[in-house]
Amino acid sequence: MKMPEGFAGFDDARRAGFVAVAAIKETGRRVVGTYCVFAPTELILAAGALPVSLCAMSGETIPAAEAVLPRNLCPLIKSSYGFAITDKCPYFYYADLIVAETTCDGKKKMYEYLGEVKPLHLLRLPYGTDAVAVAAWRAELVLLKERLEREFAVTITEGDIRAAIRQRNAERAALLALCAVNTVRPAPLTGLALHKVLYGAGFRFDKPALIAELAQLAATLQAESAAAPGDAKQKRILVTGVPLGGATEKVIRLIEEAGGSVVVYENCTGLKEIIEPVAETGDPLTALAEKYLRTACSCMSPNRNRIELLTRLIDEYAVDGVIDVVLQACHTYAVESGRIRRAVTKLQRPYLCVETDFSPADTEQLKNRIAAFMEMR
Amino acid sequence: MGARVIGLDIGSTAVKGVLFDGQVRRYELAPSGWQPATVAAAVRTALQPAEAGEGGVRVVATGYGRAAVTGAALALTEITCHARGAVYLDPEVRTVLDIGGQDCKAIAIDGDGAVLDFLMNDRCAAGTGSFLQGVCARLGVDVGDIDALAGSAPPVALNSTCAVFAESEMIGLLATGATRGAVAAGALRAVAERAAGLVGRLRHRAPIMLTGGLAGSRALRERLGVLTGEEYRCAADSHFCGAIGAALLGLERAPGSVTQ
Repeated sequence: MKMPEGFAGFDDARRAGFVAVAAIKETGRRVVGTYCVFAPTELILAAGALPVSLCAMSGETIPAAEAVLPRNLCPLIKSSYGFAITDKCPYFYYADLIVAETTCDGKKKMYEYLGEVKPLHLLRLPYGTDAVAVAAWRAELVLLKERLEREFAVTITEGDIRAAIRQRNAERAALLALCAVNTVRPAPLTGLALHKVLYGAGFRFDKPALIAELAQLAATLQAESAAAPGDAKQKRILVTGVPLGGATEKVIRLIEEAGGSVVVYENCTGLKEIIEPVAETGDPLTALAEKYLRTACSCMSPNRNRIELLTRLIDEYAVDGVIDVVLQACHTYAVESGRIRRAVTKLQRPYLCVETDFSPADTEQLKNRIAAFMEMR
Repeated sequence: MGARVIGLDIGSTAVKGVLFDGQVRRYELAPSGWQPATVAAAVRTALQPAEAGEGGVRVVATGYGRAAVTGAALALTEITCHARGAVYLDPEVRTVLDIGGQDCKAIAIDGDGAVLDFLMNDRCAAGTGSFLQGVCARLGVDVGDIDALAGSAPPVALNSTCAVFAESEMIGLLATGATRGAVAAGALRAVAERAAGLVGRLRHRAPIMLTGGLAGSRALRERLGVLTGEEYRCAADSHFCGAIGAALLGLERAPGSVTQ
């Protein structure tokens, strides 16, 4: 798919970032690898280091991982581990430290092996949002802060953390403003283009430039859509579930090839992390703990935030149907899909749950299901 | 003469076609073989009314081979078409269970034949027609005669969840004295259990129409009824449910629209 003007900087951002991160390391700056939106990137920034998301979206490295990990495991977990042990992820290669969280069972156990490959700091995630959980998560953030200070021989001040919070919030707001262009009918951004921008943004390390570019892009899209509105009859789809990217871009393509328009993503590669800023007043570590614990991940229990978020997005983005993508062996998203089905059905929208992995072998089956879903009234 | 449409259902095992004008005027059925596209073209030609002239009547295609039909006015999934065809065949049904050659589908529908929800198993042969075809081949009987073979024999329990391993298990059972009838009954029960599991996971209402190549098996319908406590029916034209549904949708929807 040919990307329109203005997307050039995002389409291949992950690859372009390889060179950028090498240059950053040359300056003596440290690099910290992360796997998940629970990672408190603000603390990493406050330590003067560069947080970067590690490769996990290709089936290519899965065979190597399966020498150690069981086959019957989430492909994203296998892929992450495979990238690490085959040296195929330059970000992993350049990382001085890995920050990981005990989100789901699979990740928790995989990280035990990963810690043998690179220094890894494990944050123990509580699965609730009440005061006890917030206190526990705040205590984990303190441990991370101390680890970063020791590893990188720096002191992290409250001011450093506040500055990082403001920077990340600005980035979140810019990304969210871009997502919001799709609230109009018809949506100016295709699902694939939106995905590429959001995914690519993580690998653009010059954040002020990124923020400016996102604002420019949002303004251009709004102007263009007013001038030349597209097909308003396309069915507007909300995609939810597991993080998407790389091998699972196939789902986005199939939805759009079947005539749908993916207008918004309720997932970690979509707006899940960016929808809520960190509070900029009060104790910064508590503010971080509170915001991150409200992430609507299926590993949280109960995950009411996800139902609230979906309800809100279905309304704001004038969604016609919901497609819930679950990876094979992902117990939390799979079990939660029943609850999502109920919630979406109550809102009188059609709902489809598809299970897939990183192999292209199920393309025909996915295509058939998605086509049948799109044919529903 | 009213508007006429040809509905083609290009399945993995057989190509089914009807010439339809509100009623079925002609039926055609042919094995898909290795070249379903060629078979589909032949079926289409066979169905074209002589007096229709140059272009012939419009064609609507469904089934996994629908993309291969050149010049189809509409191509729709078999889920949408089975749903529409089922209420035509029996206006009371509210669920369709289609046990096809390579997949099994449960479709919840409304009184107009619109799809409300669906579930598919298309990753595993257990519980599909291809499993029963394998069993019948082993037992030296036609799929259509499996009811007669099973008769009232008590079914043997097949423990394997995998269709491939179940075949080995069957051979073992025959070797140790199980009758062919008991094995046939066991295979029918295994398929019924799989299908019942699929329907059970779908929010749906009875009565349920069984379509696909096994729709004619009374033993299967009865076993499904026992397992689920719901009423399973079939219609004389169950096998053509998808083709009829395709034709109906062709009459009901504007010509030229592709998927919607």
